[in-house]
Amino acid sequence: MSEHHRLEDRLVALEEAAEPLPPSLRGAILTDAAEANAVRGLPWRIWLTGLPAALAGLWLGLAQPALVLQTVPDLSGDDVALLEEVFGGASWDLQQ
Amino acid sequence: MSEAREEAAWLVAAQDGDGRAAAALVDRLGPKLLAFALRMTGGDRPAAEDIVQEAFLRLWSRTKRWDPDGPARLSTWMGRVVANLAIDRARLAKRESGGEPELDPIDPAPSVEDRLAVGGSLEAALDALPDRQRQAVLLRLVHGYSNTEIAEMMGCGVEAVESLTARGKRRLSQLLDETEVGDV
Repeated sequence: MSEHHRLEDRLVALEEAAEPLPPSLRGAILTDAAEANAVRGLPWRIWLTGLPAALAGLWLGLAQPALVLQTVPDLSGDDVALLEEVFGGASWDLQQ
Repeated sequence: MSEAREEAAWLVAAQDGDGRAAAALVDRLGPKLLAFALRMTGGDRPAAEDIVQEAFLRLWSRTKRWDPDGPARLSTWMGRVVANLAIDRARLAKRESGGEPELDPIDPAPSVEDRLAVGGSLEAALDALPDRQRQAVLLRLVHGYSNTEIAEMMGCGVEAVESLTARGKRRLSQLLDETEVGDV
């Protein structure tokens, strides 16, 4: 076998070479995995917990101005105007 | 189940939060990737470890699910990511240090000291090659990428890849020659 082919064979054999991962590197990679996958699952968690809260807020704004005003009695005229604009239809000014 | 399908299944499970699947994948792919990164960086261990960690981070962060029936194997994809990261890193380091011409026109023969330092070890001889020659030799002759793929990774033309590979191989032979002639 020529030197030329011998070198090529030795190079090809390098493809199977392996170097054990140091424990610190292995740990860091697995920590990254846990964090990346936690972030990946986040949108669903936000959706599941955020939707009921958003619906409750909408219901309060549209149908229960009295309840809100009871909790926050010192709303200014600007605040009332804003609330009326956001929750069109609810009569926030009458509640004042 | 084939290795490729097993790896794809582990990735899906890992992305669904299965820590054991993530560990299995890291243990399967990690050691080869680290060896590859070490060779690509000329034995720079901190750089090689950073590259492997970054490659896995990109894998975990993939939003698109891996297609186990697709043409690419996960290990091949990861190898390519490692190669690209190593090339980018070397390019950046060269730019920051003032840089040298990408294709130096003269390849001086290795000195006796170089040959003695290599001592017949192929790994040491590879480490002694200029960055781009080493990258081209590894990608072409060790990992079997096509010249076109390497040109794309290295940001140069196919002819430049052919030249780098040929010169790298010639220099490797020179570095290994003296000690090995003595061995025969």
